[in-house]
Parts: sequence; C-alpha cells; structure tokens
Amino acid sequence: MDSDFSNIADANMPNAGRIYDYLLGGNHNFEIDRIAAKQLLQIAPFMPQLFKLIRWFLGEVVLRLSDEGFTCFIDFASGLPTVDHIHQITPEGTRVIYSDRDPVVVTYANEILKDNPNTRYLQCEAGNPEAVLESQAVKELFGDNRKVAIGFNGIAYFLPDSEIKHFMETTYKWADKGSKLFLCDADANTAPPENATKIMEIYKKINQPLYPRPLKVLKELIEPWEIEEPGFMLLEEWVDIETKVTEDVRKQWKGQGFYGAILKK
Amino acid sequence: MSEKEKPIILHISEKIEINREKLIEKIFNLIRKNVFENSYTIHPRMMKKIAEGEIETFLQYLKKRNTIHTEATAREMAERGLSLKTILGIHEIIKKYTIDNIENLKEMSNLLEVLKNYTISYLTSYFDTSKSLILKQQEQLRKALTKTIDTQRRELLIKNQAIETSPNGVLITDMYGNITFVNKALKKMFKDISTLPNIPKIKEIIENLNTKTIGSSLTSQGFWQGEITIPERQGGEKYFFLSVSFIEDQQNNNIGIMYSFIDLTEQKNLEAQVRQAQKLEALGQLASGISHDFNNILAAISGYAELQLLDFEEGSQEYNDMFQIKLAAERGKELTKQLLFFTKRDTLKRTSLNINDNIKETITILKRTFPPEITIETNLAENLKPINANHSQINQILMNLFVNSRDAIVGTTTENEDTVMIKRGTIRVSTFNTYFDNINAPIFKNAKPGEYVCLKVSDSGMGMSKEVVEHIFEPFYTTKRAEKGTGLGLSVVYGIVQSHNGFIRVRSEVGKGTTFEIFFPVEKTNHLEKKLHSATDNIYPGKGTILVVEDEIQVRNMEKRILEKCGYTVLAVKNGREAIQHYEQHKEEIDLIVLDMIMPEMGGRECFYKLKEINSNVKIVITTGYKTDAIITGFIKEGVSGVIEKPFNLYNFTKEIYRALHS
Repeated sequence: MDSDFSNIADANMPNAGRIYDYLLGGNHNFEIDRIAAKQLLQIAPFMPQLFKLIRWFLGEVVLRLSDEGFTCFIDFASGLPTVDHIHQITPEGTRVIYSDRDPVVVTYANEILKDNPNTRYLQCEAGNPEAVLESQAVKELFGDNRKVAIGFNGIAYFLPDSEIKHFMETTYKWADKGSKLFLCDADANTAPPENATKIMEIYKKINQPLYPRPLKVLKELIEPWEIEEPGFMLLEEWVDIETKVTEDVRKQWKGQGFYGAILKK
Repeated sequence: MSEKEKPIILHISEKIEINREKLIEKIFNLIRKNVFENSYTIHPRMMKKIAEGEIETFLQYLKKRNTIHTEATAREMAERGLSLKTILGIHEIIKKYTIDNIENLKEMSNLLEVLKNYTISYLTSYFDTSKSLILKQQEQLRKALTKTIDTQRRELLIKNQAIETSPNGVLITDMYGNITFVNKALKKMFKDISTLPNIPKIKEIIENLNTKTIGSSLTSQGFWQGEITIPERQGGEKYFFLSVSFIEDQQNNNIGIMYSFIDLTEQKNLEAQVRQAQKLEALGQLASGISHDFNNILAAISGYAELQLLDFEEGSQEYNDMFQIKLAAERGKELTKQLLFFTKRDTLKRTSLNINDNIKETITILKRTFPPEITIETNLAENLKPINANHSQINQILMNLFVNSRDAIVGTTTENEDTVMIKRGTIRVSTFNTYFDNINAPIFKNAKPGEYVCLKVSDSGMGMSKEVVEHIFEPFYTTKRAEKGTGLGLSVVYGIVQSHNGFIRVRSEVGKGTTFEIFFPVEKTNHLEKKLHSATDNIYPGKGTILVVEDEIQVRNMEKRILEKCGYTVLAVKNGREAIQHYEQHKEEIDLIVLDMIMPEMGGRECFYKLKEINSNVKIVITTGYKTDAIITGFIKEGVSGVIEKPFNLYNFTKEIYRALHS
C-alpha cells in the first residue's frame, strides 16, 4: 500500500488532488484544502487558469486523436472522470482505462463508472506504469490491441527525471507502432525564483514535491518517443484562447511558458 | 400565452430568427471572454454550441411558453459548469436585443414580464441543479472517503496484527521512553526473564540498554542493531538480536522508538551443539582409526595367548601367566568398545543386558573425570532381572544422569568460576526389581502392568523448583550457563527411556537434591549370553583348506596357527591382490576364505567382489575391527558366510569358521 495512503484519505490534511479540484472550481474538497489553495493563489493567482488550460489541452488532444481513429486510451493521473473526460467526449464504444494514485479518487471514480462497460479505473503511480500496462483490465478492454493513445497530462512536474524516463521507456516498449502519447510540462529554470520556491515549499509540505525542469531536459527524457507535428506548443495555442497565463508563468518560473505536445511511436 | 402577449412574442421570435447568427456570435464572444470564469469542464470547443443552445432555448420558450426546455438547458449548463456570470451575461444580451426591437411601451411592459419569467425559470433550475450537484458530489466524496478509510482501517489492522502476531518481539516507546506497545511474542519472551508483571522489567531493560549501549548510536544514526544478552531469573541467559530505530511521522519527525527482538537463544544452543558434534565427529574418526589398529594388536596378543594356553597345563605357572596376558587383552578390548561407544560408532542393536553391568562400566570411566570431592555410592540388586536394551544408549542415560548430578553438586558451591571451592557431595545409584499392577501402573503415563527394573540416581545437589522440573525434559531447556550445557542431556535420556518402553519419575526439592527413577520393563525370557569364555573352552576342530587374507603379520600368523591347530590346511596371504592370485590357482582346493577388511593395495571389500566374480559360491568369513551395521548388512546381502569381530577369542573364532564351512 502507498506510503501516503493515510494522508490522502485524511480530511484533516491538505491533499494535492483536492487542492487541484478546488482551484478548478470543483466541489471535491475540504476546508483544509481550500486554505492551502488560497495560500497558493496569493503567490500564483494564475493557477486556476493554468489548470484549466492543462485540462482543455487534454480535451483538445483527445478529440484530435479520436478523429484520427484511436479507440483505446490509457490515461495516467486522471483525476475524477467528470463530464469533460475522455470517455465523455469520444465516440461511443471508445475504451478508456483511467488511473490515479489517490485511492479516494479511485474509489469515487469506480462508483461513477460502475455502469460503463468500456471504462476501467485503476490505482497506479504514474512513475510505475507497469501497474496499468500489465493489468487484467488492459487484457479485458483492449485484448491484444497495443496501438493506443496514452495520456500523461499534468503530471510531469510532479515526477523526478528518473521516473519520467522510466515511464517513457516502459510505455514505448509496451505500445505498438503507431501509438501516441500526449503530455504537457512547464519550461522552467531548475533553480526557480523566490515566488516559485514558495509554491514548491507548499507542495512539499503536502507530500507532493514539484520537479521543475527546462523544456530542453523534458525533450531528452521523452525519448524514444518522437515528437509529432506541430511539436511543443503553448497550451493556449492548442486550445486557441487568449490569455496572459503564459506571461505570468514566465514571470514565475523564468522559462518560456507551459507547453504541450503529442508524441508518436 | 395570453392574447395580449401573442403579437409581441411573434414579433420578437421573428426578429431573433432573422438575426439568429448575429445573436449567437454575441453570446459566443461573451462566453469566450468569460472562458476562465466557467468550469474547466467547459472546453473552448463547446462555446459555439452553448451559444446556439441558449438562443434555441429562448426561442422555444417564446414559442411554447412552457419552461420544460428552459429548465433542461439550465440543468445542463449547471452540470457543465457554465458560470452564473456568463448566464447573466447571456440573459442580458437577449434582454437588450428584445428591448431594442420594441417601440411600443405597452408591449414593452408585457415583454419585460416574459423575460423576467424566463430568467426566473432558468435561474431557479440552474440554482437547484447546482445546489443538488454540490450536495451529490459532497455525498459521493464522503462515501468514497468512508470506503477508503475502511480499506485503510483494514490495512492498518493487518499491519497491527502483523506486528502483534510476529514471532519477533516488538516494543514501542514514546520519545520519553514510556512503553506504548508490547506485542505477544515479546511478552512471552520476557515471561521467562522477569517476574510478573513483566512490563516494569521490560522497561528497566530498555532503560538500561538505552543508557549503556544504544542511546548515542540511535541519536547519531537513527538506529542501532546488535546482539544482547539478558540474564534469566532462573540463572541462565537469553540471547537476542535487537534492532532499535526511531519511528518517524510523514514530516520525518521522530515520534517514537521501536525495539525488535529476535530470540537467538535456541540458535546459539544449536550452534554450540553443532560445534560439540563436530568435535565429537573428529574425535570419533580418530578413535575409530586407533581402535582398528589397536584391535589388530589385541587380536594377536589374545590369540597367541589362547594358543599357548592350549599347550600349557592348567594351574601351572606358565598357564597362569599366559591367562593374565589373555585377561589384559580382554580388558583392552572392553576399553576399545567403550571408546567406540563414546564416539557413537557403536550400533543401536538391542540385547539382553543387566543394567548393573552398565552402571559399573560407566562409573569406572566417570570416576577418573569427576572431582574427588564427589562420592559415588552404589546399591545394586544382585538378582536384578535383565532388560532388552541397547548397551550404548543405557550407558548414555547413565552418563547424562551422572553429569547432571555432578553439575547439581558443583553448582551449589559458587557462582564465580574463578574461585571454585567444590563442596563434597554424593551421587547414589541403586537398582532393584519392582512390579506395577493395574492400580499403580496408571500413575505413570503409558506404563503397563508388569515387572520392571528400576534405576535410581540421587544426588545431594542444589535441587530444582517445581517450575524447573516441569521443563527439564524439553530440548534445549537448561539452567546452566551457555558454555556448560546444551539443554539436550535430559531430553536425550527421556527419548531413550521412551524408546525402551520405560518411564521416568523425578523428585526434587530446592537445596535438598534430586532423584531420578527410571523404570525399564523386564525382558520376558532371559538369554544372557556368556560373555567371556574361559581358556579351557573347546576349540571347534574341522577339516578343509582355508585361505587367510590379513595384512598384519602377527594376526595372520596367529589365525593360521589357530586354524592349523583345529585341523585345517591353511594358506595365508597379506592382501587382496595376493588372495585373488592364490584363489585363481587353488580355487578347487580352497573351501573358505577368512578375509580382513582393511588392507593396503587391495582392501577386503574390493577383494570380496572379485572373489565372488571368480566363484559366486565362494565361502567368505569377514574379520573386522571396524564393525558397523551398514557394512555388515551390506555384506550379508551380498552373501557373506560369516562375520567375526576383532579382537576375537579362540572359541568364537573357531566356532564361526566351523559354522560357515558347514552352512
């Protein structure tokens, strides 16, 4: 069992997943999460907008991949399967395997999805994708099909380099040629400025340390996956929204903003 | 729709239909402008569709004037996450558009009423849905949390039970050293160490460990591991492998200390036992080798002496001198036997024996090793009945009981090994015949009515408490120091007695000594063999040609002379190779081969098989000073005609040759 188990299920301790939910305007959070979220907002008021962009990027890419003919999706660090999630926006019959490290989310999600035969929700650390790839659920839902679309959205900055590298190598080895993977991450200085340091401290306190990295480093970590056209683009460009989020992110992390990309095998 | 409203509603509907795309564009721009106000669940791709839906909903309301469609749209927008600010903005756009298209103030009033009702209907449904959505989501979250906490509780229960039922002793203290948890295994481990209640004793031990051994290491490294020794209240010691570590919370703050004890006492005892067994094994190999050579020498001395006795007149000085030589050789033979017994080279064969003989034999050996301050007194029944038992095992019982008694006496003197002042003490050994009937037999577990021989060993030692007596036959239970006792002695005694269908009674009192009474069932028929034949016993004469194969020249010549004396024609060779050559040349003449087992060049075993290849019916008698059941059983299966154990006496030797020739 996960070592953070007690923290995740504890309503008296702030939890990263529930803070994220609050910042996105959700109702799956407690007072303790809202207090922590407000601390974050004081330092980085653009966070709700950024999180929405990350989520919209996922929607955008899923729709594009669905249009390309992908009918099997595996998503890591999925959060709750709400009205905009993969199985809701793709054509009927699309098979989706979601996963998350948070057992409360997994329990909740399974309750929501219990009547949907084309979805499964598994507990899995994104740094250890084998738990999903080698699961019975994959055999049941995908059969022998390994040409899949893999979601690695909004999770890279929570994982150290070694785990990202492991994730990329493992999924690449497992997937068939033609498979695709989408992800996003901030282009950030590894030695962030003071404001960003404060954010990192808050996340560290809730047992969810952040691992900022330059885009250049991320590009090395994603190998052997290849970057597909149009390559790494700012998230607002992907969803065609005008915003000053990128400007704020740049100020905060001294990088070039928040990028997303689709990768292919 | 009232008749008054009809014209204006129709007018507005037509206007909106005409300018539908313009209105949609306005609403789309509003949603786009407010995109971050809405929930993340409203994807930018949906904005156009929402704008279209809002216009269509308003038109439906105008045309049908019922709220079903309006409420449905409002519910959907609440579920989708369209913000109130955006909804109000959309309604404002619609309102402004309609008002801008009305010129008649009277109609305006009717229209405002329609718009007001539409907005109320929309917002009521929107708020109701939002409210129930929040409640539903909170309830779902609560359920998920409860379910997860249940799972967590089960996990914690498993972890708790894993610690509680672990065979390792686990103890937890807070940072001030107060014991907060002790598992079952530790309580059991310490029950033997401390007096009840045991927690204060454990606390004392922990405090002692912390201050003396562990404290600094724990502070500098966060853990400590090592072996510790804790004295038992009955005088022994227990050995533990102890791991001590800080318990940390999720922020890495120390919140307690965990002590994990692994009881090494049994392992240490086993290691000591293995070491002892290895020593005995080495000694055994050495003793066996010596016994073999020594038996050959004794065979020669004894054999020649017996030959000479045949030539001398009984009662003459020469006869008496030679008889003494023979007796000395016999004593030597007994010594060899004892040596083999104590190195466990003897077999477990049971014979009819008189336990008094074993007592005398054992005391003879022990007297040389026991302190002179310890007196051994005997009172052995003259008419003691025989028992069917293994000679070596009975000796082992006696040895273990005597050593136990000795330690009980020595143990009463001083606890300091450096200043041993041995007190005088007595071990009393007695034997007697006894009988258990149907009434008193059940006093002892598994005892059946009948005749028994009792072996009684008492000492004037320190004695034992009732609690100790309850455990003395348990393997590895010992009250002696680790290097003094293995805790196996009395359990071995118990095992042997059980295997002989006997039983034991122990009586002991602290400070007054201990008495062991061991009862063996009497053998039903007495066929004690005469052990030592006198020199005047007849030899077995015979006829035929015998090939003697023996490397020791003295033994070879002695066997040759004995057999010739019996009337045989004897050929003698010094090893297996010569034996094969002789047998190939004279196989028609040779009736029997006397074959030694251990010889240079070609030993008895190889020679035996080669002879059998030449003639499968060849009669071979094996002579050996290195007898074991396995060897004998192997040869009997292969068709050996007889086995003679060296050293032998004249009578047995010639009898076995005669029997083999005529079998």
